[in-house]
Amino acid sequence: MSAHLLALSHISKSFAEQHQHHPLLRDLSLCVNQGEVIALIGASGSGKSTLLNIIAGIELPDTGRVSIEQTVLNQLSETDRTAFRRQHVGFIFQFFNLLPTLSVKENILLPLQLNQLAYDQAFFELLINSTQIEQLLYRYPDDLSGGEQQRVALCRALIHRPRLVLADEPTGSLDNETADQVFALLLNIAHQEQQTLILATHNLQLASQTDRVCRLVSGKVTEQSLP
Amino acid sequence: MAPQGKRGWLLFGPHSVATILLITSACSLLAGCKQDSPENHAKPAFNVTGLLQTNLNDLSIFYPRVKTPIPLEWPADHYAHPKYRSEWWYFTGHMSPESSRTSTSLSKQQNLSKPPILGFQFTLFRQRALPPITQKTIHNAWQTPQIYMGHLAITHHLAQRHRAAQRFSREGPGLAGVSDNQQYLHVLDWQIQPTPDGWWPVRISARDQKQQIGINLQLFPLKPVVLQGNLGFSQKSNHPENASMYYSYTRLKAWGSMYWQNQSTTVKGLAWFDHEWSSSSLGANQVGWSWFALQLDNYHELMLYQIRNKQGEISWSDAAMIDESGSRLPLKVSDITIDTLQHWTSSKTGRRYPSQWRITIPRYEIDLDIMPTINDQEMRLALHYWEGAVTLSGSHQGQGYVELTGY
Amino acid sequence: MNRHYFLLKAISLGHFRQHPWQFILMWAGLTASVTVVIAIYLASYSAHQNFLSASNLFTGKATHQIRGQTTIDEQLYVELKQRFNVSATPLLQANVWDNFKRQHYQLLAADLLLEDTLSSILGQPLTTLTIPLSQFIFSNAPPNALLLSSMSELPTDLQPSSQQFSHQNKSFQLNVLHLPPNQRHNNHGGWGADLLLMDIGSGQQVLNMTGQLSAINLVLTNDKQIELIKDWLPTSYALVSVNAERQALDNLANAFHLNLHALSLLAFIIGLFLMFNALRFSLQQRERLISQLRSLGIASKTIQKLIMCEVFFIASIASATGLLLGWLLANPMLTMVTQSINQFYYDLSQTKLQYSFPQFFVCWAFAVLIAVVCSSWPISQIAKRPPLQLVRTSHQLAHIHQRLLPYWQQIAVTCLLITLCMTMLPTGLIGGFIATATGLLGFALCLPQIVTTISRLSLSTKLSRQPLFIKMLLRDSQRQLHHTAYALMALLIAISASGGISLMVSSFHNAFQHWLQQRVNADLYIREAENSPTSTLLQTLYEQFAQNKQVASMSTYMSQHILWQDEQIKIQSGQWSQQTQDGMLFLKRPARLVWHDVLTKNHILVNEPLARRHQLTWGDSIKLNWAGHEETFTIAGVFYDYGSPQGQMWMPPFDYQRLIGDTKITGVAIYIAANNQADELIHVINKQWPQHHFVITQQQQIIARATQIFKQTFLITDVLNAIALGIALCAISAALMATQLARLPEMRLLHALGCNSLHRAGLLFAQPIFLGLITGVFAIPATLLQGWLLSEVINVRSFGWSIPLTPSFILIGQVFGLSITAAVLGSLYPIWKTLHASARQAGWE
Repeated sequence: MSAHLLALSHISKSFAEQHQHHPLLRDLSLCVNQGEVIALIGASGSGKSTLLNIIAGIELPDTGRVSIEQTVLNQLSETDRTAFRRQHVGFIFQFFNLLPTLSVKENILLPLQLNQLAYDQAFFELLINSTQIEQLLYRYPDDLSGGEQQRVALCRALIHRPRLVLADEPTGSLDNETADQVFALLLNIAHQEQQTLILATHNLQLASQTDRVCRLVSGKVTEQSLP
Repeated sequence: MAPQGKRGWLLFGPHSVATILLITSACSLLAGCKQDSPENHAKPAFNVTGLLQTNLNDLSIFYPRVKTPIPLEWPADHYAHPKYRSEWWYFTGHMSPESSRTSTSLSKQQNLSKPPILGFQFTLFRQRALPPITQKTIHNAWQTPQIYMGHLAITHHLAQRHRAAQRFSREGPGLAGVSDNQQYLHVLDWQIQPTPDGWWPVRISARDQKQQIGINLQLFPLKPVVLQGNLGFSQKSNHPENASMYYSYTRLKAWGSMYWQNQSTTVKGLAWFDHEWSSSSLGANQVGWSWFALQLDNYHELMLYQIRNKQGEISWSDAAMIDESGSRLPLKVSDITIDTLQHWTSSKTGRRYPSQWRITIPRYEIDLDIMPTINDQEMRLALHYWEGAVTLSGSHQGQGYVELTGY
Repeated sequence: MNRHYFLLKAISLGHFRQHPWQFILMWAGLTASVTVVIAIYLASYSAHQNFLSASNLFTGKATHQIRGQTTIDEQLYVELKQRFNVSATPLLQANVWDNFKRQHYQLLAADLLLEDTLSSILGQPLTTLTIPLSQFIFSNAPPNALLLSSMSELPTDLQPSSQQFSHQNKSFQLNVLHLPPNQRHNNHGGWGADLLLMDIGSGQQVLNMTGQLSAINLVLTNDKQIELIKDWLPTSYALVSVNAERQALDNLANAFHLNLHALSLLAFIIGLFLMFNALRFSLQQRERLISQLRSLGIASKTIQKLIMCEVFFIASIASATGLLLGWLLANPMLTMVTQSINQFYYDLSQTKLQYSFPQFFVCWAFAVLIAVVCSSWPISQIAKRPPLQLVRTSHQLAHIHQRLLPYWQQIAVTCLLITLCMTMLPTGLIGGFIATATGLLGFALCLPQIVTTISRLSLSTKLSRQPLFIKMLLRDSQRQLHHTAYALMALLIAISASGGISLMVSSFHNAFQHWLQQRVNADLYIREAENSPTSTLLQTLYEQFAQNKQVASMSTYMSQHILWQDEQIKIQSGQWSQQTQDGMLFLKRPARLVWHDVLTKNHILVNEPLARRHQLTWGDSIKLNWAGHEETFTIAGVFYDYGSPQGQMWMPPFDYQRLIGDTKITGVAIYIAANNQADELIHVINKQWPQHHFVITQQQQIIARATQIFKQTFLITDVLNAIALGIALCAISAALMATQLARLPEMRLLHALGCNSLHRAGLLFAQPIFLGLITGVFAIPATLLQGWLLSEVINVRSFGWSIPLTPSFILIGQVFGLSITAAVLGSLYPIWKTLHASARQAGWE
C-alpha cells in the first residue's frame, strides 16, 4: 500500500461577499496516495478550484491542515509555499494560461528555469512527441489553437516531473475529440511517471477513467464509484 | 440595422443654431437701443436755485449784497462786477435776411409786417465760486474763482427748429472774463466786443461747429438805457437783500451775419440787451421765474417777470412799460393780468412749461396773445430752462423773448 | 427611463464603482489643465485691464497729448482753447515728498472744473466730498488735495488733515481729503503710487510753477483737427498720439502674455491627455461589456450617447472644479505676472483681479466642449464597431499598432520638416511656437519605432543566451506598445518641453549674469529721488566730485522717452568714462570700431531688442523726432541688453542735446579710486545732501537686486513649468500604471507556476525602467532642440534677446532622471498589488 502523498484534514474555507461570509469547504478531509489518479467532481461553484488552490498552496484554508509528503503547507510562509509549489506541483488551468511573450518551447521550459533545473532533452522530446507539438516549438501561443495550447500547458506542467499534478478543468475549453486526446495523454504520462494526478472536472465520462471519484457536495468530499 | 442619421449626436441642427443666433442678435439690438425717454436724458449740471440762492452750507452768505441802488457809471458798469456772486449779459433778437423787403432803420415806425425768420439768444454768465473774504491771496490766474458760461441759441422759425450750444470755462489765465484793457468779455472763443473807450456799438460773436450755428452781429441802441426797478435796484422778494442791479437796452438795432447749418446769412433786426448782477437774487422759498421781454409795434417795450415759490405761487413780480422816448413806466401788479393759455411738456426732460399767454394791461389798452414761434425752445445745457422767441398778436403786433426757469 | 438607467448603470456607474481611479484620473486631468489655463488667463487679462486703467489715469479719454521739451506755457493752452475749441485738459505732474510719512507721492493737478476730468481719473463720477467742490478747487490757504491711495482698504472715518510735503527743497502744506467710503471700492483708476489729486491752480501754487504746465491732454475726433493743431503748434511742442503710445506699450507686453498662454496651453494639453488616456483605457476595459450589450441588441447610437453623457458629466464637474481652483490660483499668479511686467515693461502696481461671471461661463463651456470633442472620436469608434471586433486580443491590438508605426514615422518626419521651415523662415512668434510644438511631436512620434527597433535588435543578438526574463521584458515591451506608446510619447513631450524651458532659463541666467557683471561695473550709482525737470542737484554733485581724489572716474546719464515707429523707446546719453564704455557688449562688431564711430562720427547705438524688432543693423539710418524736431542718425552698433525688451538707443551728448534740447543729468556712476571705500564716499555725499534727495546704490546691491528680479521674473515660468511637469508625470505614471495593472493576471499565473515575488516584482519594475531609459535617452536631443528653439527662436522673436545655449550635465541628468522617475512611479502600485494579491485566479484572456 502506497503512503499518502497528500493529506487534507478538516479543511474549511469560506469567502466573503457583500460583508457576508459564505462557507465553501466545511470540515473537508481527503487522503490521496502516491500515483493515484483522482477525479474531483461537483457542481459549478462547489469549490473544486478552491480546493485545488489550497492543495497547491496558492490559498490557505481558514482551518485545517494540508500536508504533502510530511510537509505541512499551511505552516509554511508564502515564499516557502511558492518554492514548494514550484518544485513539487504541476498545474494545468482550464484556459491554458500560456505566457504570450514566450514561445512554445520557452513556455514548456519555464518551470525548469524557475527551479534552475537541468534541461533533460530526452524527457522534453518525450513530452513533445507524446503531445505532438514538435512542429510548434518556435511559435507563440497566440498562433495556436485551443487544443494545441492545452497540450503545451500539459507539457509545461510535467516538464519538471512534479510529484503532484493538479488539473483544473483541463478539457473544459476543448471539443470532445480533443478533450479525449488531452485527457488520455495526461493519464498516460501520469501513469508513466507515477505522478499523483488530481483532476477537477464535471465531465463524468472522463471522471470514470480515473482511479477514484470524489464528489464535492456542501463543502465536503464524498467518495463515489461510478457505474 | 437602421441607417444612422448624418447628425449623429448633435444636439442642435443648423436651423436651430441659426434661429438662436437671430433671436440673440435681435435681443442685443433691442437692448442696445435706448428710447429717448425723459428718464434717460442727462440731468443738468447746475440749477438756478443752487446758483442764485443763499445757502448756509456753501459760504454764499459771505458775498457782498446788492442792498441799495448803486450809482452806475458807463462804460465801466457794462463790464463785470467780480465781487458779486452772479452776473449775466443777455442778448436776444429777431433777425431777417438782408435781402428781405423788411427794412430795419432808425425810424420809429418799424415795419414788422413780415415777421423775422431767425431768433437768437446769446448770454454770458459769470458765477463767483468763493466769496472774496475766503481768499486772501491769489497765487496764479487759475485760482481766480470766476466761472463763465456762454449760451447761444438760434430759432429758425421757417424750419421750425431750435438749436443751442454752450461754452464753459473758469476765468483762468485768459480763458474767460474781461480781457486785458477791457477789449472784450468772453468765454473761450465767444465774445462780447465793445467799442474801445466806450461800449456801443458792441459786437457779439459766437459759433459752434457741432450745432452748426453762429452769430456775428453788431448792436447799437435805439433807445437810452433803462434802469429797472428803483434806479437799477431790482428787488426780488420781501427780503431787502434778495435784489440785483439790473438795467436794459430794450430796443437795439442789430446787423451782421448768422450761421445756420454752417450757411451764413446777412441779417438785420431788432435786439434786446439785459445786464444784471447780484449775490442773492432768489429768496429761500423761490424756485424760478417767468420773464417777458416784448417789443411792440408801437415802439413801446414791455418788461415783466413773475417769481414763483416752491408751491408754484407768484411770490414776487415786477413790470414796466418803456415808452417811445425810453422812459420807464412802472406797472403795478394790479395793472397786469397774465393768463397761461397752454402748456407744453418737453419729451426730452419731462418738464412742463407754460407755452401760450395772454397779457392784458387795461391801463395801456394792451391785450396781447403771446405765442412761441415753436414750442421746443428748451435749453438743455448745463442749466435747463426754456428761452424762446415769441410773436405777439392782439391789440398790438410784435415780437419778444420769454424766459422760463425753475420748472 | 428604467432602460436608460439600467444601461447607464451597466456602462458607466458600475464600471467606475469598480475602477474609481479611472474616474479620478479623468476628473483630475481636466481639472488640473483648466486650473492652470484659467489662472493664467485671469492673471494675464487682469494685468492687461489694470494696465489700461492705469494708463487711463493720466490720459483719461485723451487721444493725444501736447508735450514740450520741458514745460508748456499755459498761454498755449489758452490759445488752443480759443482757436480750436477742442476738448483739452491742462496737466501738472510731479513727485513730492511727505516729510512725516517719509514717502513719495505722485502729484497730479488738472482743471477739475472741466467735464469728465474727475470721473476719468477716479474711474467714476465723484459724488460727494466733505467740502463743496468749488471750495476744494479755489481754497488755497492751504490748498486742497484728494489723496487716492494705492491701499485697497482705508479706515472709513478718515477726516481731512493738514499735511506737509516738500518739492525741490520747498515745503508746503496741503489740506488732504479722502474719497468717501462708498467710492473707494468701486474705483478702477488703477493709480500706482499714492496719488495727490488737486486743482491746477493749487498745483501751480505748491510746485511754484506759475504759468507752466506739464502737458495738455486732448480728445481729437478727426484727422482734420489733428492736422490743424499740428500745423499751428509751435516747433518746440509736439502733439503725441496717446493711443499710439498706449498701444505700443501694450503691444510690447503681448509677447510676454503670449508666452504665458503658450505655457498654460502646454499644461492644458497634458491634462487633456490624461483625461483622454484614462477615457481610452476605460473604454478598452469596457469593450467586452459593450460587445455584450451590442450583441443583446442595444444600438451603437444609444451606447455612444450614454458614454458622451458620462464624459459630459465628468467634464462639467472637472471644469467647474478647475474654474474654482484657477480663480484661487489667479491671485498669486497675478502678483507674479505683475512683477514680471514691472521689471520688463512699465510700472504697474495695481494687482486687482478682474473677471466677470459670463467669462467664467464661457471658459467652463469651452473646456467641456473641448473635452467632449476630443472624446467623441474614440467613443464613436468603439460604439460603431461590430460586436465581434470589440473582443480583440492583445496580440491583435499589437498587430494593428505595428501597422500604424510607419505612418507615425511619416508624420514625424513631416513634423520635423515643419520645424525646420518655421525656424528658418520669418514666420513670427506664432511660427516659433509651431516649430517647438512640431519639434516635440516629431521626436515623440519616433519613439515607438525606436522602442520596437531596440527591442528587436536586442533580441536578435545572442538570442539563445539571453535569460528568459530578459526575453520576456523585450518582447513584452514591443507587445504592450499599443498601451504604452501614448504614455511614452507624452512623457517625452513633457520632459523635453520642461527640460527645454529649464535649459533656456538656465542659459538666460548665465548670459544675464555675464552681461550684468560687464555692464554694472561702477562702484556707485546715484540718481535723484524726485524727478523734476528743473532740478540740478546731480549736476552739482557731478561737478563737485569730478575733482575728488577718492574718485577715479565718473559717468553721467541722461534719458528721455520718445515715440518712434509706434513704439516708446528710451534715448540715453551722457559723459561716459572708458570703464563704462568697456561695459557695453556688442553684437557682431568689435567694440573699438563701434565706439570709434560713435565718438568721431556721432553715430548712435541701439539695443538688441529694438534692432531685432525693426531689423536694424550697424550702418542703417533712422530718423528720430522729438517735439517737432527731426534728426537722422546712423547706427554704429547693436548692444546686448537683457535688462528690458524695451527699445533703447544711446547717442553722444552733443546729438542728445541737438535732438532733445534738455541736458539734465538723471544719473551718475562713480568709479572709486584704489584704496578707497565706497562707504566713505557715501558718507560724504549724505553729509552734504539730505538723504532723501539721492538714491545711492552700490554695484553689488544692483547686481543682487537685478538677479533677484530676474529670478522673480522667471518665477512664473518656473511655477508653470513645475505644474505642467507635475501634471505630466502624474498623467504618465498613471498611464504606465494602467498598462502594468493589465499585466496582473500574467503575474498571478507566474505566481501560480511558482515564480517568487522578487522575480515578479522585477518583471513589473524592469519594463517601465526599460521604457523610461529609452525615453530618457531620446529625450536628451529633444530637450536640446527645445532649448535651442526657445533661446534662438522664441526669445528672439518675443523679446529680441539672443541667448547662447549653455547646457549642463546636471540638466541632462535631470531630464534622464525624470524619465526614470515617472516610470518608477508608474510601477510602484502594480508591484505592491502583485505582491499582496493572491494568485487565486490565474485568469487569462
